[in-house]
Amino acid sequence: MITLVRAELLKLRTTRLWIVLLGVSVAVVALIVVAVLASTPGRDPEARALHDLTTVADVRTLLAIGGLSATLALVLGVTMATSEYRYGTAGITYLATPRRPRVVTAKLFAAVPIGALFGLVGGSVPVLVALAWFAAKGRSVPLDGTVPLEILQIGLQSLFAAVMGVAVGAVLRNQVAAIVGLLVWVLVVESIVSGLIPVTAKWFPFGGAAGAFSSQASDRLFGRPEAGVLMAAYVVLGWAAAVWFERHRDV
Amino acid sequence: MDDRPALEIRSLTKRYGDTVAVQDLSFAVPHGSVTGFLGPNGAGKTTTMRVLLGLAAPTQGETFVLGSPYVALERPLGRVGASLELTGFHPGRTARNHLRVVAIQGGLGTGGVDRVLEATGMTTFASGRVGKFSLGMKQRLALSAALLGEPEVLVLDEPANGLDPAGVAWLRSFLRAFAAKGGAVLISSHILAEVAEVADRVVVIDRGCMVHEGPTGDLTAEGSVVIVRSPDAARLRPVLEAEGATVTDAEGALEVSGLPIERVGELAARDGLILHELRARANTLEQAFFSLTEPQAGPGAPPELPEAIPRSDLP
Repeated sequence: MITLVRAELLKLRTTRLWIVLLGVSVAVVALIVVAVLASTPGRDPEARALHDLTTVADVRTLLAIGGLSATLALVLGVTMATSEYRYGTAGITYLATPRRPRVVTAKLFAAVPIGALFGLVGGSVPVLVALAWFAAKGRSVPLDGTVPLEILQIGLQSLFAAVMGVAVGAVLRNQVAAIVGLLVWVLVVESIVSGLIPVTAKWFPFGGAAGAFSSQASDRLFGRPEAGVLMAAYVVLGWAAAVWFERHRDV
Repeated sequence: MDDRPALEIRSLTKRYGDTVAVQDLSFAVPHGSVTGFLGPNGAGKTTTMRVLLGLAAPTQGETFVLGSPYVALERPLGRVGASLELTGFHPGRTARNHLRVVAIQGGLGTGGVDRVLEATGMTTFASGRVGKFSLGMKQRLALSAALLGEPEVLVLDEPANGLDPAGVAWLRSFLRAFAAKGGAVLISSHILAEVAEVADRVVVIDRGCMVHEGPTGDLTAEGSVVIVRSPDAARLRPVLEAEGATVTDAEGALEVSGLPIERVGELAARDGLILHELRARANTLEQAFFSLTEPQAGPGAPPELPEAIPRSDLP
């Protein structure tokens, strides 16, 4: 299995997409953070808190912007599975490793470090930008041990997104359909249904289970232990679906 | 060496919905031989190979590679090298990295990558991205991947497509040497001449069904005709027809099919008929191929060409 995970990571490293997506993630997060810090806050106390960053709690709130990296990790996860079909490399993959569940499992494992990397980098960007921003103004940013913990939580959300991206990509096989479908699900469906039927919010995979690990988590969501179990259940369900579809599919 | 054939297909049927891609196909590929797998485009060659290699599930029947289903082989790339028409490459990956990925996936280690790049003449292009490769270069790269594990069996789907003449010559000599060392090769093509020069045996399929299997020479021998030139042609003709031959006139000679040349000579001698010429004319490979895989009239058949263009239609 370790060999197969190495092969999947080599597949990623030998193409440019992962670095492009990571770059986009960093750039987008940095731009939003700069926009927040540079904007005129007006009278809104939340906006003013983000603008001034006078407490550690304000910094943790700013860190939530780094959660956007999970969306890019989700896209990368999808491409890890679907590019095999888009470029026709699934044939050589399964000639080399005919036991398809092993390949699917290796892809999911390979998504863990790459997803975590996206989250850790994306989560660090707001802090680094804020440090640089306020250093230029001759001010420091309040930090304590909860900040790295918050970044780790963004890493967890992001690796979950990457793993689920692989699973959904393996099920759907069509790259565009999988990416568009997942983005619509994350950005539209979960938000709308959660808004209309609040009791459903905590059960959704991204805004619900993974969302419980955000500093912005609402009271409607599960506690983190329960949310962690729910995330694990979604991963197992996604793995099982991906294995079933791959095993029953002609390549 | 194992007594079992290197590759074996038993009563294979593959359907996609209502479409029958392969129908009750059986044949085997022995060790130490090159078997040509022939048929027109869409005959079912690639489908058969995909089922053989575990990439598609059979509707009925079984396939064996070195005595086992392909999916049951441990580290299959070390035993079977395959290059399929539908096998693709990531366009952003270099040739060397493509092979490194395949080698690691196949549990082979990356030590053989440079060896196969050199063997297929791809060393110069090793750092080039596959998206910029010509079809011929992609074929060479696919062959490189097939050779990575130094396999004892090769399954190659249209490997000469896009190769330049030097590449085709290299491929032929390589396959001959591979078989001479005991390797087994199944090579598909829709171009007969490509395979005829290298294959010991041929399997011809059409519309998913077997239409011929045997030594390559038999393909040309079957359907061959005997040319007889005789001043006694008018008397010879009924003698031959009485023996079951089909006789037609051909530019002052008789064209006899359905009787071996020896029997034609014996019958003429028996009746004291003079012969000026007696020779066998082997069917060309193309003739044999077309006679075996004649297109059926129907909605899917290509339009027939007119035998002659009326003079009035000429400009």
